[in-house]
Amino acid sequence: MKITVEHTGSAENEVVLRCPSLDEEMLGVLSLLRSGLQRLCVWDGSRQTTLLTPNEVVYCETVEDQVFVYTGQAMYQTALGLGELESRYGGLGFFRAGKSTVVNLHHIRNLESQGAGRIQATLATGEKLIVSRHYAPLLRERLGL
Amino acid sequence: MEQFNRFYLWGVNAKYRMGLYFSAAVSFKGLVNALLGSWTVETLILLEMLLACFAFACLETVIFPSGKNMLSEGKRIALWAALANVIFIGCGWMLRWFPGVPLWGALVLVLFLESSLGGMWYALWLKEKRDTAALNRGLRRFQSEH
Repeated sequence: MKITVEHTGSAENEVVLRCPSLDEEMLGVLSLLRSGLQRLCVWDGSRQTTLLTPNEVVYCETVEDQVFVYTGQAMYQTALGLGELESRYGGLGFFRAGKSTVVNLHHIRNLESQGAGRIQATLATGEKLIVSRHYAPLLRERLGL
Repeated sequence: MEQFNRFYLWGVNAKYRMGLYFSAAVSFKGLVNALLGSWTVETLILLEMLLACFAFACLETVIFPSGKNMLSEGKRIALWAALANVIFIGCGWMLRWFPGVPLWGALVLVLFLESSLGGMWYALWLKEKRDTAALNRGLRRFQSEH
């Protein structure tokens, strides 16, 4: 990808992306640019980009090096890694529940101690996630226990 | 080295469990002997109890490997309870751990074993139930404050 920085006399900063089509690389760039607005830029199967508020996200998951974002109604993809999602939106309730999962604590319906140090989280959507033994103490700490 | 470390950790875990069961068995044997008027416990019986407890502890680590939820798998629990009965009742009967105990006394011993096994699972269940309640209280607090 060719990157050009032009200095102009315009009052407002402007970013122009030129490409034949919105491929993964360009979607990633777009996502990073838009995520700076505290909103999460995601795209769906038809490569339609959407800006989600962090509160809309139920959980995020990595599958084969791709990060999927699940809301109550739809599934999207994002260019941000799980670590970035956690650090960027951690203050808004995003929590790393496992190697491949980040969950929004505001969308957890209930938690259940599973023995052997694990915790099962039932999400508002009815899905169940396991908080692994490694991350369970961090969750307890986050919940002030 | 990794293999050795895993074996060593398994051994430590098994020894801890063996110690727990052995102390219970010896205390119980001592109590029964005291009720029968004897203030001694035979060394051979102690050794047999130690070996039985070691065998049971080893099997327990196989039935419930590290990380397995001990409350969620009914078949494993049933197998564990059956083995406890076979090993402790079998050894007690065949190796004559409690000579001089009448039939009703033997039944009381079996009942005591069953209630001890049940008590172990009840304690685990209670611990999980309380932990779940605390987790949900923390979650509600977090959701209302953030």
